[in-house]
Amino acid sequence: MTMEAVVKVEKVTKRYEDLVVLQDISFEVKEGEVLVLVGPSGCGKSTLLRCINGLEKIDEGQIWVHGKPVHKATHKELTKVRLMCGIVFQSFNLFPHITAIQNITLAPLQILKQSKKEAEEAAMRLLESVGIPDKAHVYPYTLSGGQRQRLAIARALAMKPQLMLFDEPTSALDPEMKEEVLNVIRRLHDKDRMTMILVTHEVNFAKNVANRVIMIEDRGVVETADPKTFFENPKEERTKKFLRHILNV
Amino acid sequence: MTYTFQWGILYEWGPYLAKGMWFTIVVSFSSIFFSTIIGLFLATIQTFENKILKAVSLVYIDIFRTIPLLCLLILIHYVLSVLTGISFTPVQSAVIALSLNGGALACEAYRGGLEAIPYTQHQAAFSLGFSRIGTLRHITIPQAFFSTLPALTNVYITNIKNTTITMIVAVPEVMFRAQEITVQVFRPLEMYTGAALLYIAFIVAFSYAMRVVEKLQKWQPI
Repeated sequence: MTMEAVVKVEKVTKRYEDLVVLQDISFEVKEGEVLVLVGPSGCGKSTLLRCINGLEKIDEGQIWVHGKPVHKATHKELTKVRLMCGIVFQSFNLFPHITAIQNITLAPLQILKQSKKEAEEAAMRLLESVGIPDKAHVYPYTLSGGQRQRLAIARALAMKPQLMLFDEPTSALDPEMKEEVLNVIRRLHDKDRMTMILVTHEVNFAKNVANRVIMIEDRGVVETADPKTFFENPKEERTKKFLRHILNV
Repeated sequence: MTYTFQWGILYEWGPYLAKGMWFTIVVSFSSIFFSTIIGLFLATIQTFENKILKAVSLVYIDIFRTIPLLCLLILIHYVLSVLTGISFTPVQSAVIALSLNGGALACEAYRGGLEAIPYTQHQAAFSLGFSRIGTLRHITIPQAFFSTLPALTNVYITNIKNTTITMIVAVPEVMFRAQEITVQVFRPLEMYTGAALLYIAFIVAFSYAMRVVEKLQKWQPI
């Protein structure tokens, strides 16, 4: 069982009151795999990501992360699941009241109970790997959008997750800043073989990095394919329409 | 209408009047301290999902924000001792009444500050493994601290001004002494003007100090 699924999503349904956001969604992500979720805005991709680490509760179906059932996890078990999943948000969600390095070390110090020295050394290594070691002691408001997102990635990585979830990590960024963030993510794939689920509209990036692309629309999976087939030769009419739309923009 | 001011009377009685400031300071700072703790506690349990804790907080606020302070003070100092036999010194009663009232006001100030923090901050904290309490302690309360300060300063100033009411239970603070002297020397205008000046000086100094604390904020919201 070397290829055990890191994430297993089975027949998941999610509602907000009467509004069905996701219906009967199923997929698996294996160790080292990169899954890209695409779809028109409001189709529930981001909700799906937040369901995987238990920030949102699902109404039906099952979600397993490394064999742990997220759908029926207690508070304590949910914390364990969250420690295995790093999540990066579209709007960064950095902690504005502490410096960059403190953003990274806060959780390792408080949750993993690392020593200050250990946490700070690891944080400096992470800041170097995302290319902003000189920003260690500044507050987040002084950083550019790209730097903020790279800091957010470093903060998530500091918890040594086995899975990274990216929720439109570059949507709030200017074009030149997108690239610096995508490079960091690309390196996570190339160098660390990180298992990742990304919600993104970056077609070129998805083509290069993804193992699989899933298109979600109208609450369900429209098409699943390898990136080359998905972007160059999609089967479904809705996928074609969606691709025409994002490629024109 | 001719009234001849005799400010000289303040020269004679001023030091005695000013010594009442000590009680004003003790009562107001103690009650500011306890109001802060009570307020923070109430605001915190209001963020919990537990309905009983939430209700406790809401009922507390409804009671202690609405009872007139004078009424509360008399209840604590006189009525409570008749009913239960527990009796407090005037200063103790004053601190208890002002803290109970100030706690309700401070809670509302904190609640405003905490509710202004976007939910995405909670999401980020939860996803890093923080519990609800941990999130409050490390992320939301430190962020709310500075945005709450202006509202909190108002609560604290109210606490200070409310110390004047404690003369009713004979706390020998400035207002009590002003009345005491007036009865002896019949110079109410001079004595109460003197008392007012003392309060003004104290509160101006206090609010200036709070503004200095506000300036300590090194970060900006993003």
